[in-house]
Amino acid sequence: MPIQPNPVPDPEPVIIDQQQREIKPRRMWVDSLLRIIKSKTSFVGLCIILILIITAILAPVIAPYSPTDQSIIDRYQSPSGTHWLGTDELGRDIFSRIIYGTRISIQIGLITVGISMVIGVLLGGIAGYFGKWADQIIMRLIDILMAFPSILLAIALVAVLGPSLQNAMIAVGIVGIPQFARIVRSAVLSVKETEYIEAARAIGAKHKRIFLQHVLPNSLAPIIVQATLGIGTAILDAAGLSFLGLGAQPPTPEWGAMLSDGRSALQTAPWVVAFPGIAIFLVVLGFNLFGDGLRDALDPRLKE
Amino acid sequence: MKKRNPFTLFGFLLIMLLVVSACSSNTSSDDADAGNDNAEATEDNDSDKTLVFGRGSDSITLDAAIPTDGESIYVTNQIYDTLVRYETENTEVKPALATDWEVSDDNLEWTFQLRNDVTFHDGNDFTAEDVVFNFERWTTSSEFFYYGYMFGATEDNMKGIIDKVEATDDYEVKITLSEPNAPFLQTLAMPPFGIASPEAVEESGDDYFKNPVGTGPFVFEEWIPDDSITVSKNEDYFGEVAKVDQVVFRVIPDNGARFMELQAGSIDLMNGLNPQDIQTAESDEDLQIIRRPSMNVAYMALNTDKEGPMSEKLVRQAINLAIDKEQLITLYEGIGKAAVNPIPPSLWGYNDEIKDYDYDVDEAKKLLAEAGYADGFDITLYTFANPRDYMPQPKVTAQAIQEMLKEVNINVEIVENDWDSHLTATENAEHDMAFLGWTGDNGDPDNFFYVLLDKDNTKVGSAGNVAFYKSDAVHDLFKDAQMEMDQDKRTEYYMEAQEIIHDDAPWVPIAHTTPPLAGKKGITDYLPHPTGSEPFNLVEIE
Amino acid sequence: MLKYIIRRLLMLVPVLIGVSILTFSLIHLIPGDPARSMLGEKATEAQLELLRADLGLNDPYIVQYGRFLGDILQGDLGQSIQSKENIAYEIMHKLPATIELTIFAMIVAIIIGIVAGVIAAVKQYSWFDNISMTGALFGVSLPIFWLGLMMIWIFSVKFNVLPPSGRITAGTGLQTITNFYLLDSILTLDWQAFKDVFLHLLMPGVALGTIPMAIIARMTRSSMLEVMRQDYIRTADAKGLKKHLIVFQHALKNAFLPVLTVIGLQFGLLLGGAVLTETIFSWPGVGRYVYLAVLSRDYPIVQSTILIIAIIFVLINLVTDILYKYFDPRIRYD
Repeated sequence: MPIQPNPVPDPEPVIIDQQQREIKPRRMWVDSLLRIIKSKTSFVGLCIILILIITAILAPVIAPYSPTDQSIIDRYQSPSGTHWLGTDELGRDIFSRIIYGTRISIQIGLITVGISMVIGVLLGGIAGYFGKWADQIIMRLIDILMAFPSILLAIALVAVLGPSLQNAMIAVGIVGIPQFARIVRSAVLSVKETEYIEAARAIGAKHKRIFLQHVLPNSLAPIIVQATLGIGTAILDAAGLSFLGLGAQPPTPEWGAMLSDGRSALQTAPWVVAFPGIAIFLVVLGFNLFGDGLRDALDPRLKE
Repeated sequence: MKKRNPFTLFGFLLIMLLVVSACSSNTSSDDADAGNDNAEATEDNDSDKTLVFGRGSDSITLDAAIPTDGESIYVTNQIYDTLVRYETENTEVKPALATDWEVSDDNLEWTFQLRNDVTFHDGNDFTAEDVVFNFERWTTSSEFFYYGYMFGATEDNMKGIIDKVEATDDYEVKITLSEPNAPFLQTLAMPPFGIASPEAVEESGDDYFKNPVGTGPFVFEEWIPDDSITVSKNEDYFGEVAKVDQVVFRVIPDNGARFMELQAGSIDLMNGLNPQDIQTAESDEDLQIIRRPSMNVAYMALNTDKEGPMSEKLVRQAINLAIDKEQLITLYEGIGKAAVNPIPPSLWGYNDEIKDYDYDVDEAKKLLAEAGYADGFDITLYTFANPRDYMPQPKVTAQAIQEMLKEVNINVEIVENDWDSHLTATENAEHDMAFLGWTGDNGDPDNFFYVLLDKDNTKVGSAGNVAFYKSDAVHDLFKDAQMEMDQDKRTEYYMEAQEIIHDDAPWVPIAHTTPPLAGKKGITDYLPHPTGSEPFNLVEIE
Repeated sequence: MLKYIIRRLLMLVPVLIGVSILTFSLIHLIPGDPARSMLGEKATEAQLELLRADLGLNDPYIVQYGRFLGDILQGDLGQSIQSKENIAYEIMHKLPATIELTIFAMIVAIIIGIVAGVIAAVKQYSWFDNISMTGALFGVSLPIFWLGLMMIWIFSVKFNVLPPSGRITAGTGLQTITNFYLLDSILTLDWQAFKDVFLHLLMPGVALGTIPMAIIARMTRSSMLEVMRQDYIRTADAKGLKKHLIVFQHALKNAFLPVLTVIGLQFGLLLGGAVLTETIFSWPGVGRYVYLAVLSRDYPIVQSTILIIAIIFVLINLVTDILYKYFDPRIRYD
């Protein structure tokens, strides 16, 4: 399947887009959507995400077996007609576990990014909007968080909170805060000085109203882009934590944990390791493709 | 205006790589001429014979007197000697540091004649005073677990049943017991009672555990934690001098990865073979499987001391009924037999009239209802990350049990720790249920029963009895058996104790295994000992 | 320039203080009594008291923090709870393994990434461009622990050409001087060991280097495209300068700056990725050290290792910034 690389946008449309955005926001969204569908890569990404969501919803219908039903006699069966992706160390159907695993992955993606986004947007918004000492304090805090390699900070947090899927999500969520805070802060800074906000301020509108009605909607595009890309990263990081035994606990069909359980049989039953990894890869790829497409479509300047 | 070219940096890196790859291709072509087996090539370079032994976890300490885990003992067994040793293939006792011994008629006074030609690795001569020093040292702290386990030492009586140890001559030691102890001689052959150099112990102080000095066939060289321990041959060994020059104990935590190292030839011998890899090893013409004679048990201890369901005998019986041992045993891939009693059937004193709890979910539910737990309950099952000889797949086994107990509404939360933390956690009684196992140390049933199920060993913090099973009836039988020298009578005591234990159900006995080791074909005279480890001085490698 | 460096160094101080406060606080984030959670539920009060006194948990936080900072400044990172080993010593011995692995991974990533990126840009929309950029997209989406295991399966199990774990074959007899094995083998001219070490580095290095490789390739390509579209390149082209001269002399030089930033950032992130890679390949570095410490609840190790890695991370970022400023002719230093 030939995938066209995203062409680098020409300077002109950027300017047009810029004007449209401030004058007719609705038009922008329609444009963006069209652009996404037109771009093959982001369309592929969108399809993967849709398949993921549908699979999660219909898991009990699609999955031929229960994800936790064991039959030790049937352990380590290679992929076949009865078990499409083979069975694992307890004779559980890997295909069914991967299908149910979509639910866990969506949950991880949404909750984790939710944590990063809510806290990040608040912090970044306050820093950018109020400036001065609020900005100083918040940004120094963000600097400190960014002084750690992200996965390592997540591991340290889980080490302290105790290994569980919930704590892994909290840890990965915290680690993702800086990106949102920085994006929102710079977006806020760039719209803050524009005329209509000055006007609103002159009329005497409340901070909260200005923030919610003017500032936030105008920094929405980069937030959405970051959230989409962030879901991919979050799923990857959480799977890494589970792989290390610090995330999802048995018998949860989390992909990273499944992969980890299959390690000891790598020689005799490589499929136990292979398929959950492919599932993680596909889903992360989906969010990355779609996120890239969104970025190009919504805000070409973000593309460095 | 100076113009700087960022590309120079890149260029520099590129040149670096070219140099590096040029070098590497040179060596590889040289090497191709010389033959590809790089392990072989290394041996040619320096005629040292090195045996690399791959294993799953690192030693905790190299002080022979402290550890209870097999991996630590594997290494201390090379460095130290005991007064007596086991025969190479069974648990009969033969002379070692002691050449001869006799016991008084009341079975209380043991006199040992010692060798007069032994030196410690630090050059000091071995004398009777050194034996006295070691025995006294073992009574100074409860961290010398085995001394406590085997001789009944407690906080109030740190000496346990050993009343006095005297040097009656330069090379004669008299040990006086406060009560007869049938397995005494067998016990003295256990690696934890290896004799350390008093000077080294005093000099190194708290660091002795990483600077061990004994009299054994190998001298300690280097310990890189979590990586490797190296010992080299003791040229002056009083016994058979080792046939290899060096033994390297390398830690490769994952069983599968370790087996791949063996296939690749970078290690020579390994323990903890994944059961599913046995077939692969058997069909590989460069490899051999070596089976260790079975003298172990894997079990799930039920914490009888914990308030709540686990303190109820009915619940414990129900759990025994709810576990389908036949299914469970298939996870052992043919190296395990389902266990019924705490001791392996190969040991004398085994009660084969006891019938195991049959897998019966309905009966289990009935008992639970009777105990007032018809709706089930939540409990923890503590397990460990790295496989062990008696339990090759702890995590999977835990999940299997989790699923089986779900059938009777018992909701199991699996808590996985690394081995050290697992021991600490279980000794501290944090668990409701916990996996553990035991490999016999001295071929005496007492070594299983007394250590694992006597109320003397339920002290929180250092418990060997992690079911915290405190039956007085069983305790009396164990004590009687300890003091009785006649094996037939002792057998009777143990038979009775096993019946009580079976009924009280402080454990779910899981399996007895024949742990497989895998090694290169070129290894000869490696004779695995049933106690779980053996000195490597007889091993020959091509 | 010097002024800039000094200013950046000064700005580092509050960040490092913040980092030390955060790592210090880790131990206090443990729900409940940290001493209790390290020793277990039924530890005696005396044992707990002993550990608390050892860790200084009875003093006010500010005093504890002061002592923590003081110890660190003196190079004392405390003691492991499990093995009682000196942590600073352990880290010093394990750090070379990790640094060797990350540098190797980064060299692989930079070379392949930049070459692929440049070719993709020069031959925009060609099959090479398509394939390498698709590959790059795949690269950033790959779970490296999976990639590592699959590589082991292919190269160690199926074809048995690469060693599946460790840094060196035991008994190779390499004399260690710096503990950077590759360097040591060069210094001692031990080519046998060099080959052995190199082969051991290959799989973990490539696995760890995949993500930065993909990101560098994408960044190089887009940065190159942007530069090549600019007037002076077009002029150079029009003047008939040889194509490769244009690309390497002018375009790449200017396109390199954004790539440099990415390289710096990714290099730091690799220190985190090393935890997974080292675990899979049984690599005896700090990543595996901190992971084992997490499993055994040895918090002093976790604390100290994370702190050290954070400091290295911050320093790498600093160097990146300084290099950026140094190479960028458009930026003034004050």
